[in-house]
Amino acid sequence: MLIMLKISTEAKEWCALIDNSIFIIYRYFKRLLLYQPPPQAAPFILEETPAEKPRPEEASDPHQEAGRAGLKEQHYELSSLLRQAYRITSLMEKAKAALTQKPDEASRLGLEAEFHRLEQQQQELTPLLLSYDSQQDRTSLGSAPLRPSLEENLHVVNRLYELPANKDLVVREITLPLRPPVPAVLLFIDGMVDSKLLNLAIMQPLLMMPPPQGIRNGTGLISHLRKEILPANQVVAGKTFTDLQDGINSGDTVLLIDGVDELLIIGSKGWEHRAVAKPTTEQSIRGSQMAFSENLRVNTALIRTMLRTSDLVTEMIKIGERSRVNCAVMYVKSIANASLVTEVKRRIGSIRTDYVDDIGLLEQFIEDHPKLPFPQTISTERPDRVSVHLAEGRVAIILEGNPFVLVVPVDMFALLHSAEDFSLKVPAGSFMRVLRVVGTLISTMLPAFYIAISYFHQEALPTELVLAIVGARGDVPFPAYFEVIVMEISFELIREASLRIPNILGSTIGIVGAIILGQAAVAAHIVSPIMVVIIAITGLASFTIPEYRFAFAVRSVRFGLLLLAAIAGLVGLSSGILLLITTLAYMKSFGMPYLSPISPKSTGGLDVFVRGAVFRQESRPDALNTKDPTRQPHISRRWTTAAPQEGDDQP
Amino acid sequence: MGISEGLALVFLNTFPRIFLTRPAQTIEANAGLAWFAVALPLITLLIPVYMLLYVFQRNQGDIYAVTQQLLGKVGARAVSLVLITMFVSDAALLLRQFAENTLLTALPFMEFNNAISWYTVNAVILCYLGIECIARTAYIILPFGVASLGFVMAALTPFYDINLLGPWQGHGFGTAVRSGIAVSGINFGVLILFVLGPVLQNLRTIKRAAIFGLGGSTLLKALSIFVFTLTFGTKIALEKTIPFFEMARLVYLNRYIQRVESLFIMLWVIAGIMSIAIDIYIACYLLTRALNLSTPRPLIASLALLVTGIAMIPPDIASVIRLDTIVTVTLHNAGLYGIPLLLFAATVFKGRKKKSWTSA
Repeated sequence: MLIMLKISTEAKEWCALIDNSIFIIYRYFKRLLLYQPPPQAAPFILEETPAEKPRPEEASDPHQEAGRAGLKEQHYELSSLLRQAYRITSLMEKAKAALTQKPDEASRLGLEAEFHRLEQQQQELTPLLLSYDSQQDRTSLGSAPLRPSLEENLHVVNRLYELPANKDLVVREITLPLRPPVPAVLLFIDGMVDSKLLNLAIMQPLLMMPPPQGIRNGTGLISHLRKEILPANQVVAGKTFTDLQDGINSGDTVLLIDGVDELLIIGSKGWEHRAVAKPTTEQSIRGSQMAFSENLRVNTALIRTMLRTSDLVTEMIKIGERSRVNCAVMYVKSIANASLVTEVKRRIGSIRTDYVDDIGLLEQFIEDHPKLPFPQTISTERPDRVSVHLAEGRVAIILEGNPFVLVVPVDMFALLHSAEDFSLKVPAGSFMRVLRVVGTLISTMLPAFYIAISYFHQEALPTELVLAIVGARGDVPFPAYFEVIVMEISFELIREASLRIPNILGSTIGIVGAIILGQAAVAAHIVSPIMVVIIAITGLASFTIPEYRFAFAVRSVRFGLLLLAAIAGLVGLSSGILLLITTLAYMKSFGMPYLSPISPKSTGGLDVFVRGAVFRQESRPDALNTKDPTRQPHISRRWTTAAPQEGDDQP
Repeated sequence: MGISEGLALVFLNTFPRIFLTRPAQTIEANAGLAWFAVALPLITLLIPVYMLLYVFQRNQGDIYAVTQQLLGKVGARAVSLVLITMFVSDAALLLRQFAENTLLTALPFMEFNNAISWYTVNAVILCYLGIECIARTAYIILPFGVASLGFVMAALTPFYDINLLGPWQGHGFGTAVRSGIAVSGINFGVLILFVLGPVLQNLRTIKRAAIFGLGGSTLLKALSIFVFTLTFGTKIALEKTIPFFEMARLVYLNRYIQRVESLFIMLWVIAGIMSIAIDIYIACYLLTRALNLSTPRPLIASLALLVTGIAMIPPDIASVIRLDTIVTVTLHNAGLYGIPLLLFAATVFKGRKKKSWTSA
């Protein structure tokens, strides 16, 4: 019995095991073969927008598309009419209530004013205007004129600024204490306005102003507020939603008043910005120690503090379709060539893009040869440098939010000048310039020259030097051009890395990295010591170029010459140099030849390769074709022409 | 373009043969008076220059427009064809000789096809950038070129031997005059100024550019040959196929500055490429004018290919040198003296009223 029971138990266990296994296999196949809902939600996929890839059914049915658009227009029109109807109803109820009680003078005037406003608004609600408004998209809506109805205007503002989702825009409703009181709205972006200024110079005068006598219509009210009530230093009237957006987006406060189809843009900029500091990339021992900041108006003011002439003109151009950034074009009217100024404004004004947030981007939009590596503008953070160039007849371009200013047109030699060349005496200034030219030549050609000589023209080297090079390269298994490429790339890596590393560590790590890397590479017989010397000299020479972008262009050219030298020795190098010079001769910066005053030959004003004495720099650069080519008279040091007289010290 | 650019164009187009075998040929023909045979054409070349200046004073435009005014469309096209042939032949001969000399002096392991293609490609790129850029580049390079030549000549001072100039009459004064005038066609590059015409602002610019460009080029060539003779002597000079290279090779200032000839390769490579580019561009320009096209750019690559093809026809460098002399004596001389004479005669014959020359 016991045995039977035991067998039965074992059999049951076996059955259970088999049964279990069968079901496991069954379930496995079932999961494998049958559809299972995914265990987690479908991942997000950024699909193409309908504009990029129209769906076939939509593309094939224009009637449906037109019908949808028609419905949207009708919805807009009906909503507008409905809101107007509500306003009329509200007025009628108020009038009914006033008539039932005995109306006083104030309520009568109030009702009368409201009636006039409604009457004016009714004229705007013609079917044609409504249809036009409803068809406008967000961008074109911006250029529409304001309506007399505050409610309608706010409706457009809501659409423009995506309210109430967008929390940046503050809509502050107020009531102007007029007879009768008039609803109004202040619009500004939180964080961009000066709160103190807003409270004291805008809100307080508006809320506490005495009711003006005899002012009923909108234009009169706007004029009254601008001239007599608001103490802010900049108050400008506007008529379109473009004005409204420009004002709000620039950090100003916009005032909308019910029944008035105009707005007031009240200056209230007050966002946080960096203070005027020392230049970081164009340091000088002598001369000014101020640098531009991100605030456009601070930058223009800095230039004005240096160049104090009423002739200095600052014109503003808005750039960008979506983000409309202010761009200032500065020039000295009596000096700068008028066609140059027109061309600069034309190029900037014709830019069509969403937004330009960086002066480097702007430069690429307006320069003559954006595909060539050579900079065709001066980019500086020093107001004194900009002032000097403006006084020479050039044009400065300042972009909002950028601490660098572009100066155009420019010749190649100006890119080798530094800020303090004229702070030093003639010999010192000239010596520094010659040193920079030599540095530029070394930086451009030395590695290529070495490759050409060591590969193809060994006879040009003294025998001892050839033997020394051969001895040093004896253990290196790679060809010389491979060495150069390895070292150049290593150098570029160190340079790039030292830029990204935090300031305190950057230079140290750069130097340490270069030394360790160089020694290790020589010890490992990857490169020869002579190559380390050549690349070090080349790198050092490249740092003598004061303009960062020009130094980068020189680096690019260096690689090209290296390749040509590796292919055809000095023949290749000379071809490369010839093509380089011809390309430079071909280039122009805002219509001015890039190699002037050398080629085409013109008067450089003793300020090209070397600099002359300041009192001998009588004319402005000829290539700029300025309105007034004379900078100072032939004898600028008049004290040298006459002996001192008695009474000279008297004022 | 101004005087500087015009001067540089003429100089760069008439000078590069000093880097080739021409000096040795001149010495062979004139011995001690070779320098005189080179300097003499400066006087004879002023005759066609002044004839053309006279013609251009009375007619407006470039050489094609002037010829059209004087000889009609067919005449203008015929003159253009002669000029195109001159410039194309010059480009082909220079291309071949510079490519051969590159193999001989700088890159002995390079394929001939690659050497000739190298020059062609460089010249084509220059042509695409335009004659103004070429002229400006020429003007920038010119002082360095002259200074380098000056350096070589000055550095050879220790090797000067006045006795090597003797006999100073060479093969005779008459021979020198005949030989000098016979090969003066190598200076036909001065016609570039008249081909471009209105681009050079006014006649005063053309006149000055012609005189200074041609004068500088001729005098420097004469001085080079004089120094070459002074250094090597007539007998040895005949054995040197590339005189300038040999002169540079002889430079020894001290143990660290010797054998600098390879550095001067850069100078003659640049001069060669520029001269070929100028020839090709001017030929394209004339073709554009003759066929009434709007721009020479599309023609550049095709014409450069044609020039390369022609340059590769002669079997060896000796044939090229012989051909160079033949073409210079016949075609280039005919073009240089014949075309100005023809236009001058036509102007005088027509007795046109003098018109003020204005830039286009």
